[in-house]
Amino acid sequence: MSPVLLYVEDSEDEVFAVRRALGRYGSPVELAHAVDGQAALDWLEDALSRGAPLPHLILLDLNMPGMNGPALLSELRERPALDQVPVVVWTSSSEKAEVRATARLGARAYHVKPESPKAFARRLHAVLDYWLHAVEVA
Amino acid sequence: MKAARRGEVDLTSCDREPIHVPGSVQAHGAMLALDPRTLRVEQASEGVEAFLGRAASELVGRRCEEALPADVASSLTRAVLEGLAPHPRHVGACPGGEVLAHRWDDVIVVEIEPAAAPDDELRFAERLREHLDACERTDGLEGLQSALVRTVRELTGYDRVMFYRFGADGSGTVVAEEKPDAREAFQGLRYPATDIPKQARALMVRTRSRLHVDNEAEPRAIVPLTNPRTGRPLDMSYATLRSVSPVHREYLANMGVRATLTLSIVVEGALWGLIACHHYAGPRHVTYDARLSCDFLARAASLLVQQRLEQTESLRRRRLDEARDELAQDLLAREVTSPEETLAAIAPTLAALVPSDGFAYVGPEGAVTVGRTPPEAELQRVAGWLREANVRDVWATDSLVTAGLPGAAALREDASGLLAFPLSRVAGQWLIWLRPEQRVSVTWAGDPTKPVAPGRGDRLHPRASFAAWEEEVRGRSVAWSGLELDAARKLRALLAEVVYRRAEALDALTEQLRQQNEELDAFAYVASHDLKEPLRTIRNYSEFLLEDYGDRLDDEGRRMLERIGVVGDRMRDLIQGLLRFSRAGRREMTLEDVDLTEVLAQVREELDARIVATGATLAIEGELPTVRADRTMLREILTNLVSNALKYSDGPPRVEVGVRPLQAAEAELSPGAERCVYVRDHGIGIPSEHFQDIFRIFRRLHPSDAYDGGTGAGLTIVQNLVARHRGAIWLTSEPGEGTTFFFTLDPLAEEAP
Repeated sequence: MSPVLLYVEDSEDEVFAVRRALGRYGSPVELAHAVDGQAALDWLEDALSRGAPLPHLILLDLNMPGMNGPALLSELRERPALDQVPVVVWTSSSEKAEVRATARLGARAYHVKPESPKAFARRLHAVLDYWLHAVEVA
Repeated sequence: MKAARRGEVDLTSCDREPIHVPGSVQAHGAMLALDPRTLRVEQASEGVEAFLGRAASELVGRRCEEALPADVASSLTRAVLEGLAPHPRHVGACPGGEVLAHRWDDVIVVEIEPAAAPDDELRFAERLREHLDACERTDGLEGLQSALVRTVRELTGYDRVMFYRFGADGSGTVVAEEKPDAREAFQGLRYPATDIPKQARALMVRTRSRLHVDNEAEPRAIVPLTNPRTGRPLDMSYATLRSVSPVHREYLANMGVRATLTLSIVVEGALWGLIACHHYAGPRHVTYDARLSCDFLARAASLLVQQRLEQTESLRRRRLDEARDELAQDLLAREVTSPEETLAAIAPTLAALVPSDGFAYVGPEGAVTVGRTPPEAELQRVAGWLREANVRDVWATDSLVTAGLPGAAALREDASGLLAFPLSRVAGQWLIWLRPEQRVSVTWAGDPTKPVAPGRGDRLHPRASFAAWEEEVRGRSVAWSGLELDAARKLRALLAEVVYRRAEALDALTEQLRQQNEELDAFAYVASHDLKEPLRTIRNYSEFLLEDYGDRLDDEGRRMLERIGVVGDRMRDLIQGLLRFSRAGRREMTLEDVDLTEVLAQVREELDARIVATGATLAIEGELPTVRADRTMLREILTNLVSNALKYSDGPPRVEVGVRPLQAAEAELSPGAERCVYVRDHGIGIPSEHFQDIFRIFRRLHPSDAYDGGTGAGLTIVQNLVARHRGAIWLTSEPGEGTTFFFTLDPLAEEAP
């Protein structure tokens, strides 16, 4: 069974770019998409109630209409059952304040999306390598 | 005359002559001094028998009922019990005389003087009001003075009546006169202050009229001279019959005057002038009732004079106030320009606001003058002298010579009198009004330097000759009046307020601009930040297209997609530049001591890749100092400048960085700074017509793909950061030879230890 990546992002274009990069990743990854924090929470609660597996990694955008990234991080910390799922921030903002704030809220890593598509795909692949496989091995 | 004992004799002895205790009375009347408790006669004047039938020596020691007619005695007793004032009061009549009494210095002074012929009284009293009406109808002070002398002459019948007005120096000038045709005119003559001694002036304020009946009659002595009870000579300060000082009698005799009457004009408690009546034909007596009217007339005249003075003053004040109000309106309506321009524009108005002959605004950058003034160099010298003298408020003199200005005598034709105040002492800006020397001849009644002549023995003798003596006043202007000083003070307050309001307006403007700038910065940040996302998306799709569908496109199609990528990258760089620029403006600044050598090492590290790639040399010239700056900003400034220096070169770049003292010609580029940092290259250079352009954001002189790209935000950011350090940036360049950028940092911060 291939690992599941939950991507929380409001922009279809970003989802497209990630999906496309995943298609070029060496091993299959199942992509789940939530348009904001609330949709992500709903998805996770639903998986818990059905006994379905939780995602291996949550890729989180910060600025979204509705429940934004930091708000979702706070919500997850309130729920012990979900607190263990690693969350990696995946954003175009490089504001130091946001890096610090999300780290305090429990984000495991913070990535500024590289500008060029090639670098973008390389970075995403590296993130998946680490969180889906290195962690699994550990 | 033993009471009038004198010691040394000099020209001021007159001021010390005890004229209130002459020890004698005028010959036409008689005087008794009574103990206020026992009403016994203690002293009497010689010749009293003419009225009371008993000689002075017989009266001394008698009770008042014995000395005086019964009705007078009882009326006096009643008056004493009721309380007598210092001013003489009518208490009755005796054969051929009227009896007055007053209390002064613990003595009841009884005076007896000849009674009036009944028709005399009537004539005076009836016409007084009618005359005062005429006086009130006159115009101005001069008209009033003429009407008053006419009135007094007609009412009193003296040969000559003069209006005598005191100046600031105490001298008196005859300003109006009525006289017999045959007599020499005194109008316009000036009399020295010593002609009327101080103590005489003091008495003239107390008693508003003073009668001297016959200059040729010898005064009658008081016996005994010293009051046995008080141990003092009889104080006649308020006595009508007080005899005239021998010096004054001689003075009058020298003028040929036989009898006088003097009315005091008192304004605000001070002796302002006199109405002096002279009689030549013979003795002249004015009876008690008529004198009361004279006293009344003097008081009425004083009030009228005061009213005229106030009218004139208030009219002038109103005119000045109006002119100042207009100026205030004008100033507030004016565009905010430099103080110099404003002052030049309003100079004529300022000149008129303080009545003067010349006006000057003197400042460090020059002078603006109106009317008669000395040359600018002299005005600057005067301003310097005022500053040295620590003049802070309105200051005035009618003689710069006397005030001690060096070389003032040479300026006196334009500037003898000066009124000035500083607009700003620190900036050395002065407003100065000038008056020329008052070239008037004063016609003195006799030589004023010899008002009295010491005679034989210890007696003072007044000058014998009243032949007009002319003197020219030099180095002194017309004095500045209280009104004028006041006008200057109000003007100063007005200007201070306008300057203050201007400063407030400028502050508000600055604050508004600052807010707008902040909003613009925030806008630039948000806009560029939000632009980045869609741009990246465009960029992504063009790349995806190329990768996924490239093999289905022909070369032309692929080239178009590639161009989208290239232009997208270019736009990304521009947005990145805009973001850096707006961040540079928004960033908090922390000033600290920064070692330039250390910063330059970081810059070198940052640019290492390019230095290696281009084979460039980056040299530091001399020792680099520690400067006061924001470390990050300073590094960004230098990184941008060095990076530019590396870029714009056709061969391997050579770049030098150093610090050198500011040259004289550069002083105005960065006032206060002493040194500058420079970054010199030997690259392609910048044509001088582009010296301004290069600092504008995204302004590039070369195609974006030439000279290693760059967005054109770098120099704009550098300029912004230098400005935030309150420094300046400039450059010199020679196309083909190279460019040197110079910049300074906050001169104030540099001064800090």
